[in-house]
Amino acid sequence: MVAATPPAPSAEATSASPAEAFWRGLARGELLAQICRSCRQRCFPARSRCPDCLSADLDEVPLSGRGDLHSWTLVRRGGREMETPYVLGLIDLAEGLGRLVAPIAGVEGAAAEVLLRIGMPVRVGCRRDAAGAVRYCLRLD
Amino acid sequence: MHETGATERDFALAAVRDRRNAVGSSHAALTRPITVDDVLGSPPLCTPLKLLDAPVSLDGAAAVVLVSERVARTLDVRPVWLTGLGEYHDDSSFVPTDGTDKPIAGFVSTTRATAEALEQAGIGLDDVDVAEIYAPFSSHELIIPEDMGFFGRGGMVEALATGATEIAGRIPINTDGGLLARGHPWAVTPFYETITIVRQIRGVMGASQVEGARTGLVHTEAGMLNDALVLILQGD
Repeated sequence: MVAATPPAPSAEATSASPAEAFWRGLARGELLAQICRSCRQRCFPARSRCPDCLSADLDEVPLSGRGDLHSWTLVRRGGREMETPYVLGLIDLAEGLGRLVAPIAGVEGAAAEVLLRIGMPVRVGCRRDAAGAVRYCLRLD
Repeated sequence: MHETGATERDFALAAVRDRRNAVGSSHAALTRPITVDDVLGSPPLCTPLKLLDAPVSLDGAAAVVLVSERVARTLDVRPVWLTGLGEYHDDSSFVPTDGTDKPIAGFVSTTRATAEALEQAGIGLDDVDVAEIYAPFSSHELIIPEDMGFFGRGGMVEALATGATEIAGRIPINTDGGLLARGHPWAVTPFYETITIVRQIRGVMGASQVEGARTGLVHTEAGMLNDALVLILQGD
């Protein structure tokens, strides 16, 4: 659920925190992971230190943005600021680095039962919410 | 559901069991019995969960007094001993997102914490007479006992159908109604669970008493079930 309502950094942010680099990448249409310059471990989502060797020397590396639908839910009673109903998907990222939870765009309510199949290919997309903030979402191929 | 074949009806059976266990309780929030159809027909929240698959959110208060053995022996109460404690914090919250290898219908934390607590107490799972588990939704009522090893993965479907987790079953679970019926004032819930196991061991649970209960297990959590704490409590 955290992924569905991330903090909303402005696209003009100048600080180079890992999170801001991620959101700026998303605004360009890139889903960014990180690679540790010290031990070459790759990780996702963005963090300030390598989970393996704890080095702070991390570089951004773009992912394909592709994945397989691992599970999904039709949310009828949602979190604050979320207009219900909406469909949330959980995907396995193609690179095997992890999973990601996000609303599935273009799948309305009861259509989820018909359109969605566990294991089907999906890709991570970028959208803007009502306030203009960058969000990610999932799209069916 | 995809991994074990469990259905919404199986989840409903857990909610029905919890509610039945709360009937007659002096402190449970919901004590009117419900049926599988009541659960299946309740308003949807997030598929596949519905209102009656969810816990009762409310205020509550409880206290547990922990003293040394020396002090316990001087008190006019029947002491219950904390003989095992296990804790494990998995590095991923609620849904494992730190890789693509962990199942989402299972918690590594529960398995590891349970094993540690049993080892510390020097007992096996078969020695546990009664368990209280932190299951905020009916689906967790299936997942958590499987994580612990009371049943194999997917085995809770049959366990619920055959009454294995009822008061008189092989391993009675959530004998006070659990989070779904007793209620879930979230930071208080672990204390409720502990008190229930203490009462079971003291033999004062009334209609929900497990005959001859001597060893009980308390499972609770921090975070989003990715951090599990398991206690083993035993009578003299």
